[in-house]
Amino acid sequence: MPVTASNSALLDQSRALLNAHPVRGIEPRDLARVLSGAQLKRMDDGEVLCTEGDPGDAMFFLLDGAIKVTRTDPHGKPRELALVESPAIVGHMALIDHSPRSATCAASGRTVVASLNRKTWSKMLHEPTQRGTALRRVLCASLTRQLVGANARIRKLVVRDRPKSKPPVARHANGKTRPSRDLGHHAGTPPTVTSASLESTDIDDFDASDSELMRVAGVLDGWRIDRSSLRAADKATFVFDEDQMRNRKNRS
Amino acid sequence: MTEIERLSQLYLFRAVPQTALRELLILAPPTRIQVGHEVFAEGAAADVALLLLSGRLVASVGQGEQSREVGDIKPGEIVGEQGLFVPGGQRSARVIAAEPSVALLVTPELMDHASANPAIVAIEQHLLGTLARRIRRTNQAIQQAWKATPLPDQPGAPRKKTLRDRLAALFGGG
Repeated sequence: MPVTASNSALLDQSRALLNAHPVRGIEPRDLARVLSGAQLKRMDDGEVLCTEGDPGDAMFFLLDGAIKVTRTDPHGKPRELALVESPAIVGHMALIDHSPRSATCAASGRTVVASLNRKTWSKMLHEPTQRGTALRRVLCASLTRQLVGANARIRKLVVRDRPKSKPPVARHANGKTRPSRDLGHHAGTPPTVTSASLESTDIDDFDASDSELMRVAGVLDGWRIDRSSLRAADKATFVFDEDQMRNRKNRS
Repeated sequence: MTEIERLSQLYLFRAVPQTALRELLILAPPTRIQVGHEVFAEGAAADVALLLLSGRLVASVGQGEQSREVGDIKPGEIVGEQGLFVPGGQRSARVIAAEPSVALLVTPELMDHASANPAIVAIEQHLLGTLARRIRRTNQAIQQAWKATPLPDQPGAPRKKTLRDRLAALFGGG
């Protein structure tokens, strides 16, 4: 049910969001201008915010309460992925790349979200205004954290069970060494030692860590925004994208 | 070719008026980089990004004999962008000039000072798309690894391919 909120309340909520997820160059008042274009929505426990597979028509600023995120794994089994607590940003990937919702989100307890619909979002995203800048940078920072956090988790997964006797080399089927595409470590270079690398899990138990992989996928989809990943910022390395390919084609 | 012509030809500036590009060039004069010059050091604080206008940069990780190239940066590409939005990051790779290069130094101060400039708006939008595609692509790779059918786990047969093996095959390491 839509409700109204005063400017000072929006400012408080923006401050809380930025305290939890700092973004360079963005002040609470800038983010408050973004929130002023969103529709506030109070949700009861279990009320569904978005459903996996549906088209994304809005992104959400989780202002109060929590959201339970459930997703169907690649084997068709539904899994509870995360409980996202406020303040947080969810559901933005579907707007950015027009992909369907990757998970179902439902309120856990009484929850308040600010819903920014696609039309308003798109308008703001192209604006050369303070609120446009705030929206773009909040999203860029969030995606950066997702990528950095996911890379860190993948690195842990790959590293932690590495047998000491084997060199850290990935190979093609023909036996040739293949280059690493990301993650900042590669054949021939021992990855950074993490606490996880000290665990003594047997290598063949690794498939038991599906839930861990699910969490990685969750990070990539934006359901877990982890402040600790800030400290690992800029760990994501070089994967070239379509725009860059287009640039290369244009020049050739 | 002038710098403004170089900028105009970049895909990310396809809809940006030349007046905005001129302002960008005034605020961020092109920097010439000699071959072999280290642009970013691995592990250093990440606080600026580079928009390459001409030449070629190479990114590598590791030191000495274990140093390995992980990618190259061509004109129109931005490198080191993480430092623009999230404070406290470190460079994940060393970047050096493989050819004589010209680049714009994109700093947080420039982004703040010229935030209303359509060229800065274009850079932010470009980075948003870039980051989203990286995330989707990485996610797809993980999902494929997860869904991959394990090899037969019988005596004499190759051992079951673990999730770590599949991830290592996709992303390196192991």
